[in-house]
Amino acid sequence: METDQYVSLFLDECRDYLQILNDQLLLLEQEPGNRDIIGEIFRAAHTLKGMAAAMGYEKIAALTHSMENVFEKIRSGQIAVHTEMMDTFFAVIEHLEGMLADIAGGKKRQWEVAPIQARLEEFAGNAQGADGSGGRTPQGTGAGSAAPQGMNADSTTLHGKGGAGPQGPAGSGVNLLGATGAGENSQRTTGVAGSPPPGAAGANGTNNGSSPAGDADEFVMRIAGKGREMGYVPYKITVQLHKDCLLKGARAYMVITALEDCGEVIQTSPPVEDLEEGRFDGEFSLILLSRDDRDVIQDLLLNILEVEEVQIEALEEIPLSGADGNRAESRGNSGNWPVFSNNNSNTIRVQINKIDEVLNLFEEFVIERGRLETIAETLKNRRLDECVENISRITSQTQTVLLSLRMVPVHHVFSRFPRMIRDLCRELDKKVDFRIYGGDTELDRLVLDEISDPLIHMIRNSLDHGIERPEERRKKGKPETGTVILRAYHSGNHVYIEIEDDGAGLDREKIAAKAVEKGLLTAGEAAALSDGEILQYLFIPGFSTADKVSGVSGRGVGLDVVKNKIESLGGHLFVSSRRGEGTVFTIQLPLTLSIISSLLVQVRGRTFAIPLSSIIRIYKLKREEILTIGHKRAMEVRGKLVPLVSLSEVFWSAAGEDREETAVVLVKKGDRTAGLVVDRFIGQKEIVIKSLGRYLGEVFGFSGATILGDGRIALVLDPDAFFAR
Amino acid sequence: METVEKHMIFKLNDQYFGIPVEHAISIEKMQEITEVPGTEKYIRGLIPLRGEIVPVIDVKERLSLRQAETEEERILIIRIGDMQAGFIIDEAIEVRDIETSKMDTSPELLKSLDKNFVHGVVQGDDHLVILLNIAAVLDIEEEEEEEEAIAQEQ
Repeated sequence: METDQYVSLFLDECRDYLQILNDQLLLLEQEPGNRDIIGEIFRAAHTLKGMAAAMGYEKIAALTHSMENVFEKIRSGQIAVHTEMMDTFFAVIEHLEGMLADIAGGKKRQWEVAPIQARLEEFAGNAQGADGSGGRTPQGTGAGSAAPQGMNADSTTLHGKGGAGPQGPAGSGVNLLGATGAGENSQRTTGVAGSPPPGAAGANGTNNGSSPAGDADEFVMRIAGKGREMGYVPYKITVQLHKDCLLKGARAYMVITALEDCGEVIQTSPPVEDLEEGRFDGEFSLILLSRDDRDVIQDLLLNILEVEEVQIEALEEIPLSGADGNRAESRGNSGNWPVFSNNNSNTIRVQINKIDEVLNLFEEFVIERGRLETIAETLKNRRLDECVENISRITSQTQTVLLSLRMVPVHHVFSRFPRMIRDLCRELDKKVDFRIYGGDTELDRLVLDEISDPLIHMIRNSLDHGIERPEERRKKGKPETGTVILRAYHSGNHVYIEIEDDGAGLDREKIAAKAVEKGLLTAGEAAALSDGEILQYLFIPGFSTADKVSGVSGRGVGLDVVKNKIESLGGHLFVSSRRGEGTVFTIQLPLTLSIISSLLVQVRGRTFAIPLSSIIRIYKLKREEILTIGHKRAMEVRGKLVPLVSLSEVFWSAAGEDREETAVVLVKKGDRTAGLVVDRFIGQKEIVIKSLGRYLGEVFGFSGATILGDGRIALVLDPDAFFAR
Repeated sequence: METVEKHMIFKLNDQYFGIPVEHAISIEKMQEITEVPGTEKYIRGLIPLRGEIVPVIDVKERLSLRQAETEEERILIIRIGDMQAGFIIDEAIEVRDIETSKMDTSPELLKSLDKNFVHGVVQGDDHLVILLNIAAVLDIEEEEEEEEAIAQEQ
């Protein structure tokens, strides 16, 4: 069980690092000489290697090790990046992704890593794939950030309490300092796990140029800074053991353990594994974050056997914002590729099923609240009413918070696209400037997962069918490089995702001609339709306007599938286009899925719920307000005829009750409206939608069911079903 | 080889039926069942069960048995794979060891039943027990049941 947890943690973190590799490689392609990027890639590869080795995934470790070797050489200026190399790197990432997917899926496929590894080693100039650590040549050129004052460049940091070695992925689980997120935590593993023991402690600023070490220090200082914000004092503690001490390792271990009771040890010098194995001269130092007084710590340590002397000094605040800011800036400015900061501070990783579990329990709670409301209504006790009112208020607040837990920024999905665009551009021989806006817009995790494939499809479409070839664009007087914009934003109860291109635009005439050819329209009808109406034909199954089917985007299985998927999530897909200027696809998605406001209505004694989101308004029509056209009925709304649909007739093929006044719910789907005839309105209610279950699957007219306050079930109507296709 | 499996025994009219006990989750009192328009006639509708919504099957209707008036019907909740459903039954009898190796699959004994719905028949003390094929009753793919059987053996 426990190893399972580690595996999923491992996978999560690996994915993060692969994403970093991905993003940075794309950046590197734009700026092959950028040392910050190279350093970033080197560190990510190094960390991946460490994590994989610790988990026993040798092939992943081997591949990342070779990659690290190449970047070692690139960083030291011995070799330069070239296209073939980039392609190989991306191939490596694909391999790694595949292997991770296999681990996640529990598959045991034999991945052949030797050929690609050999290619990497060739780049690195190591024919036999020798261990890369030998090639680490100190380079004085200021690539690495200077080591902060008083910190030792050759030191490593400690994971959680007595945790695994610095390469173990386990450490991120236990961390006294909640402020440091898992992502950063393992970034610490980029410390110099394998570097030689330090010469003299406290050699000010003599960085050997190995930037991981500098990074580790920077990291330590960041933690120290963060700890300070939270009321911890960072202490530098130097411990001198008795000179005749035999069990130096054990004593050092006791010191660290003791200190961890009063705070968090964030760094030791020499590295902790050297300490624990006694590979030091009797004196060592460490950085501790603690809320305790210096004297308390001093007493604590002096009580440990064979501790001779303890020096404790509170660390001065060392400004780091400069170094930090520079790095962020250089990342932000490099090219048009979007970069997302990997700032995980103040976050914890939680398995999504735990959140779902809480949500499920909460849904039950909402149902019980409904019952309580029903009971309170019949009892008419003022104090009970007050209490119920409070519970209602608190539950709706809780609901907001709980649902926000499942919200994740869309960049989780968006960040995959830059590489896809890169590959597509090469394949299609097109030039595209891809921009992402609103990557931090949040969306329900479930919706986001589901929306990923449709998005991929639509972006492919934009590149394949939208953006023209460079020469064609030149002829049209457009810049050779096309622009594709992926934009997410939040408005009202919806999240919108737009895919905009400045390509050829949709050709109304071509679509109309195709529709006529397929027998969907007559030429006369086509001419009468508006542009918007013609574009709707794109979403009809089997309709594809590409003259030739390419390998990139579909063979006519495209947009209708995309549209269905989006609608199954309760969303809508819109398209607008100007010939020659480009196309915008807009996806509208609901913020949350499971708890909705609804109108309860009654038909033939049964209660049904209609989602408020699709209701325009309700009417009570007098007999004379109902128009009969043939055997169909309709009503007039602002001068337009709206068809009436009797639920009783749809579901039971029986006429509804004949009343003085007919209750009608006016619902919309896109820009169309229809009036649903019911027997009676009951009232508005927050409901928890449950699916009808796998057994019933999809039933015409219903999107699910809900349990009402009185314990009975109401079916939730799917208003979209009542619009003729 | 003798194979003994625990079965949940219940009655429909005056006949005894059995399903493997691992598929039987609970027995619920008859309650209001919410009809779902547009579904098969043997699907009576939905009931709420511990916060979930469970479809209820009229097994007699499904097996084309006569619908005799019964004093107190029950709903036997079953699970197959990750699917839950309720079977309307007349009476739950007991959980009993059934020697499935002695099961008779000859159709003569089952003349009144569509044999697709039945695995076979086992002779009880003074009555026959008809072992139901749940997957067939629910009209779901047979494989799912087999997959589950394999999963349970492991």
